[in-house]
Order: sequence, then structure tokens, then C-alpha cells
Amino acid sequence: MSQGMAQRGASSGPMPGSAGVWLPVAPEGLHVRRWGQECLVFHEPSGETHLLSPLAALLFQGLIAGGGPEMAMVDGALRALDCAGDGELEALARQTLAHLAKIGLARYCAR
Amino acid sequence: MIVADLSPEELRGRLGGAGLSLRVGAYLFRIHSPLEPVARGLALMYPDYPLAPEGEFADFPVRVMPGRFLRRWLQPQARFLANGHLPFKPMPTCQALPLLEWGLNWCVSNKVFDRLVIHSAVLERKGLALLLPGSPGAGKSTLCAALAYSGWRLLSDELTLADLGVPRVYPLPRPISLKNRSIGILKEYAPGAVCSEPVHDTSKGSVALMRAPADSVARALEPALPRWVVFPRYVAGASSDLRPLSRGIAFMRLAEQGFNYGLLGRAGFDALSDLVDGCDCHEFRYSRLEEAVALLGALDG
Repeated sequence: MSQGMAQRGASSGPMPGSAGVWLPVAPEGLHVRRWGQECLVFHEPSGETHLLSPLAALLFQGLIAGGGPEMAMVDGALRALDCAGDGELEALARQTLAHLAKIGLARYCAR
Repeated sequence: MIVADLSPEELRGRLGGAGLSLRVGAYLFRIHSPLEPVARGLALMYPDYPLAPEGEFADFPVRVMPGRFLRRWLQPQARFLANGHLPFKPMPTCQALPLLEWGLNWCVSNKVFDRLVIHSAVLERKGLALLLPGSPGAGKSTLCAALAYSGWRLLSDELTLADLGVPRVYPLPRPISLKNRSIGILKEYAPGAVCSEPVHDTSKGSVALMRAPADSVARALEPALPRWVVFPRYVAGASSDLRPLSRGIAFMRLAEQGFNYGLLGRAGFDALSDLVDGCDCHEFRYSRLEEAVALLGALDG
């Protein structure tokens, strides 16, 4: 089980280049419960439950909606948080995407 | 027929013979033991429990037996066996009753897979259930005992059994295990409650059992709807402080206390999500029982 993923393990995971896209993983293995800003995800293949931070939840939502290039996904999440242009949060969002991939909730496809 | 209908000789006869088939909630425990502390303890703690016919299938056949070889006579020991399995180290014979209680908890927490089993006390009022999950030492059983003798129905002081299909929790009302200082505190709080003599120097310190209220035992098949999850923490001298806790964090903490959450996979996730979905969740710091009981009593107000 993991909690507040945006703050944890962010330095590891895939380090994508700017040309690739982030994609969702197979939805049949994912089970989601939302309470307000909180998003809980059960990843059936690993048996792990993850409580996503608000930022991770927004990125995950973007993935479920079909994913996209990293810049677009990060921008979308920051705009939703009313934090567009915040360099620190942007870096955190990129790290969070990498972490989502590490725990099996996202995949990166280099073009 | 209930345990109290048996004479002491009949009770010992069953324990030493075909076994005492005790119905607790939805489960049947068949207990064998030639040990006197077990017979005395069962007569004192389980008088209101229904007995099942000898031939009926037992969910949990268990034995509390004397030590082997020299341990029968030299510093005599008791051993708990469930289906021939020995989950705990032998303990002194005088600790046989707490050993039996821990063993019965072990059976349910390790062998029940058709329900989500959470390490949490649970009580009911007006059909609504209050869960009190907590790590050992958090003051969960103390608070549970006080509530059970203040108008709440005891479902369990240790194990919450949650349905896997609908948000519902099932009773498993058994004696409440009190430790160390809480023994004296509860005797003062509920002077009418029946308690066993404290057993000292167990792995958990001094332990005494408090009999489950008769009404809780009589209604042991009545489930309840989960409505509140409160994580208690006893802090000496602190005033009562009840704070809202987000459902997401409450879920993760409950999952950590789930004995079989990891084994149940998606069914466990769905069951726990549904349970949390219908609950208000709180953290609760307390020290004075009267104050704590009043505050929790006002949850639905």
C-alpha cells in the first residue's frame, strides 16, 4: 500500500524524453474510488492499493482519459490546480508521472 | 440450551470428552480441555452462549491441553491447538484462559476468508455500527468496554467482520480483554460487569476478561450498518479531542489493520471502500472514559 505518491519515490522510474507519450495501463486491472480530491486505486495485478495525492490523482485522471505527451499532461494537471507555470510543481508532476509508471499505473511510449 | 444450563460437572465432562460446542455469532467453536482454569473461565465468561449439538460441524475445533512430558508437572504449561496446529508457544497453566481467547481470535483472523476481517473493536446503536480500529495499546478495548456498558451493543472488542457484498458488519461478541491499568479503571467504571481474576506476567502484562453483556450475546446474529470509524488513542491526562479524518486516509489505515485484506484482492478493496463510503471517519484522543463515552454518544446527534 502506498500513500501520497507525489511525495514518495519520485526520483526513480522512467525518465522519458520529450518526444514520447504517456498512456494508460489496461483498465480492467484498475479499480478506483474517489472521495472529493482523494483518489484510491487498487492495482489488481500487483494487489497493491494506492492513495494518490491530488496532483497524482489529476495526472492519473489524464491517463484514464487517454494520456498524451508529457508536457500536455503536466500542463493540464497544473491548470486544474490553478498552478500553471509553477516550475517546482511542474518538476514534481514529471516525477509523479514517472512514479505512476513505476507502480504500474501508467506506461511511457517513446515515439 | 446455554452454557449456564450445564452443571460444573457436565461442563467439565464435555470439555474432557466430546468437546463443548459453543456458538458465537455465526461460528461454532468446539473446545476440548482437561484444564481447570479453562472450565472455570468458560463457566464465568460464557454462561449465556448457546450450545450446539455434539455432531454439528464445528468451524473451529480447538484444544487447550497440558504441557508435554515433564511440563505436565514441572511448572505446568498449557498449549493451544487449532486443528492440530500450535500457533503459540505454550504458556503457564494459570494463563490458559487468556491463551484460549487469543487462540479463538487467531482462528477467526487467520481462517475466515468469506468476510473482511479487520483488527478493530465494533459496537452498535440504533442499527448503526461504530468501528474502533487501533494498534495494541491505543486504548481500543478499554473504550470498547466502557461503551459496551453504556448503552452500545458489543459486536466485538477485537475483530470486525465485514460483508464482502454489502456494507454490513457481523457480531462476534466474546469477553473483552482488559490489560494492566485498564482492569481497575473498568471495574470502577462498570462495577456490575463480571470480570475474571487478573492473570499476571503474560506477554501482554496483566490480563483480565470482562464478560460480554447478555443482550450482546442474545443478539449475536444481528448485523449492523457501518456508520463511524474512529481511531482512538489513549493519552494520559489529555482532554477528549475528536477530529475528522479523510476517508482516503481512514481506508489506508483500516487496510493496514485488515488481517485478510491482502488475500481478498479486489473483493477486499470493494468491501472496504463500501464500508468507508458510508462512514464518517475521525481520530480520537482521550483519557477520561466518561468524557469519551459522552462525546462518542453524541456522534449521531
